[in-house]
Amino acid sequence: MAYYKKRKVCRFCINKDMELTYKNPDVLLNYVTERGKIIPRRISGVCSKHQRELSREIKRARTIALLPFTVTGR
Amino acid sequence: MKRHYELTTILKPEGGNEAVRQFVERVDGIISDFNGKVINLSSWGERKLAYEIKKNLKGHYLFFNLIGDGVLINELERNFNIWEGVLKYMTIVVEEKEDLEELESSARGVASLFEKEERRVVEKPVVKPVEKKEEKKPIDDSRKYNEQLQKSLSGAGEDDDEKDVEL
Repeated sequence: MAYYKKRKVCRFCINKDMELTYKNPDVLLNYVTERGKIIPRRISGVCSKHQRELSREIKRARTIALLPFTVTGR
Repeated sequence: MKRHYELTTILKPEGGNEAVRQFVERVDGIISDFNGKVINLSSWGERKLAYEIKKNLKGHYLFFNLIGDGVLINELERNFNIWEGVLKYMTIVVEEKEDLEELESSARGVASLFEKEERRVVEKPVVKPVEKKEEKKPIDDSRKYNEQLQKSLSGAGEDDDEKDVEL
């Protein structure tokens, strides 16, 4: 029997209240690995439009030290 | 050409409120020299930085909404590079189509920072009692639960099956 994965739906499309800005690092943290890398949309299920915005906002948050560029094990 | 900018600055935490006030005054001076306007200014307070900047682990965040042209931003950034209290800054053009004139008329200036500080002080005591109420409820429940447990334990030494039904 074949198993089909449920299609993931973009959370930003469903929940319009979820603001996608660099000022809100708590939301962005969900789309970043423990090491601080941006999670690809094939895994997180974000639509391409919002993934573009996400990556832009994560990079902005990084420049003002709200998100880390990298988390090392030190 | 005038645009709407968002400006985030990170100051050294050591100076405290006095340093923040001085910094805001200096920035406001430059902005008014270049015919810019501060629409809103808010403080995010002292936050932990995600990474070390110039040996600092904490920083005081200030967030400006500005209207001005590129010359103003150049001048501001030139000054930020000189001033020692500034750890880092970031300016972003707000792309959304807005009515600049309308925004400009709603400008509250630098004073909006100090208004908000007063509001925050008022808000704090309101939050505390709510937290206490939330804490009390589970304690009461656990007390009742404990009493029930004790009753059932003391009363039902003989009939184990009945105790399960009661619970």
